[in-house]
Amino acid sequence: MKWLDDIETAQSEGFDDLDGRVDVPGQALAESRHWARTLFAQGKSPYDAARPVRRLVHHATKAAPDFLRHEYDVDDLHLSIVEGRSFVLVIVSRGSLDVLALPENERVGAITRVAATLFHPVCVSGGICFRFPERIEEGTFFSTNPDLDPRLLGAWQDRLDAGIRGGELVFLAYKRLPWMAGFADPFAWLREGERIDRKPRFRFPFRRSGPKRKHR
Amino acid sequence: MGEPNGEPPRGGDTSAPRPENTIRIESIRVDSDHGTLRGCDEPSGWRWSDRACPEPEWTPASRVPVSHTLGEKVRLELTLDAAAAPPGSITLEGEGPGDIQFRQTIPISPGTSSITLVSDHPLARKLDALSFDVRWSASEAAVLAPAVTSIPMFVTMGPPRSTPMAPYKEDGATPRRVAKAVEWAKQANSLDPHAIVESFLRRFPYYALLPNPDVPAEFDHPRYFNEVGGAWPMVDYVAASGECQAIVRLVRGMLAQIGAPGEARMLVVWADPDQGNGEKPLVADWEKNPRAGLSKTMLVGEKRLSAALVDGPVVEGKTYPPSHTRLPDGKVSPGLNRYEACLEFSHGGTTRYYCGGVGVLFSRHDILKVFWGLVWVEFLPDEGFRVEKIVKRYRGGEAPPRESPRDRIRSFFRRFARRIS
Repeated sequence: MKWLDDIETAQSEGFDDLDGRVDVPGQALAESRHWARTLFAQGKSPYDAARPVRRLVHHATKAAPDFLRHEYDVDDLHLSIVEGRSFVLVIVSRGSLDVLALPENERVGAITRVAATLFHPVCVSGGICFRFPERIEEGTFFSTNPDLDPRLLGAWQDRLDAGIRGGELVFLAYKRLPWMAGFADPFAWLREGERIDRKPRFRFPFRRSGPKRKHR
Repeated sequence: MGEPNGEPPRGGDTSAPRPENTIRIESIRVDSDHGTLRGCDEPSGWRWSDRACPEPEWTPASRVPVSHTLGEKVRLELTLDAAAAPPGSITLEGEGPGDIQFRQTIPISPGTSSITLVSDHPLARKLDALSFDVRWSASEAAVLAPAVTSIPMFVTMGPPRSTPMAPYKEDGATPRRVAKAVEWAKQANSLDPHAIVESFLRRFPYYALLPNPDVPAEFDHPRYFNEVGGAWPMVDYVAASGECQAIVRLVRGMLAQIGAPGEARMLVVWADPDQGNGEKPLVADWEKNPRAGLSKTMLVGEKRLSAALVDGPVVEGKTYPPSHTRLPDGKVSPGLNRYEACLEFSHGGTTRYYCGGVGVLFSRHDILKVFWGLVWVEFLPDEGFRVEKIVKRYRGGEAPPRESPRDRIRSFFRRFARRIS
């Protein structure tokens, strides 16, 4: 929940509208595109949506880390995607889908349909398989795999979370780098020249190859 | 199609005004080539095409590249048009690159005829991309036209693969792929597949783990899961490197182009605090189990601890910022890992391991030394971590001693004993 609190702090501090400008480091933008392709179904991501996408940015302060926000419409849904360095939070606006206004026995089906529309298949069987609680109401959160620690996932598909927050349906996907344990510094994502994979390596000597010299 | 080195085709227009005793070369077919190249009509992309390259390989209007096994003699089938030449016999000679020579006495009669020529000597035993230029001459005052013919030829260790088996078809042969594979493999100055793979890997000192903005998005860097050549476009963006699995696919693809033997696969290697106190390397084939790696947690009182492989020195009880955070002094903080990804290459009973940025390793035990140690950590809300316990140190900061022949023999027996047990 700390991430959700961080997003609210960032909201209160304000996002800057990029208004078509590329005011984001190339590395972060490439990562954002990469994860959009990875997580979202064809035509549903914020980079290949059929309709215009409004992009906003929050640069890290002492109180809240770096965020990118994409606002756009997919089918009949209005989406606001808040992307941190290690997660993507998809908020389906209440105006386009009010899950709590549906009869209780239709809520699960509606959530499953939206998840299947937006994301690449998560379960091995090809569908979104949330472990739903008995009742879905304000403040309910559920997951496809609540027992797995998000910091140790082998792939993002291993766990997708969702819930109802402020009356809106939200999905939380983890931008997992499978080789890594834990997450990278969320305050340094939009810093110029930042790359998590430029890690210091202990280098073994390379063996000389090629034909061996004959000893006389 | 131009020459393998990119120069325009040669030997095209050497046909002087036709004297009465001129014998025209109508076409040349390289009978001893592999016949496995595809996609000669798509010379500029890395995509594999299932359209076979046309035959014959040489006509006055076209030159089609061929691949040929090194150290073997070249066999050509020439179609000659001797319409204007007087009947009789001539000795036809061809002087090719290196020691390649053709010489044969043939009967001449008016009309078109085919002859087969076999070179006196085999091609040199080295990988090469050459212009197979043959200077033709004939005895008995006959004149051959053209006097020189050229065919782009890739000299390889064996037949390039005609039918790809890899999901992204990196192993299917095209002239452009074979040319690049030969160019890279030549740098090894050896026909030992291990030396060739090592020379390939020298070009990729690091495995890339995140997308690079310099690589066009259509290639899907660093994964290279695309339908425009798979891992092949990586050769145009070497500095950006790629994921270990993409490099494994590229290496496999390149070996398939030059007909080299050997098996490459991607391993992930990690250790577990509960198995041999972290000393035992645990290994998985990434293509069979892409989720493999260290995912161990335990509850100690109220604390949830996670096991991790740390790549820099840490101290028990100390708190660290998130992995690889750039510190005010310019250094980078220790990072936590689930595994190390390595390319394993096996051939002739020998196996070598290439892990991103750490050189060539001789055993799976060595791979764990890529890490400083195995630790239990508690993750903090700001994504930093506190080291609760150091389970195992793999190195103290100094380089492991270089492997001597004695070490290699010991290592062999150790592995042998393990296999027996």
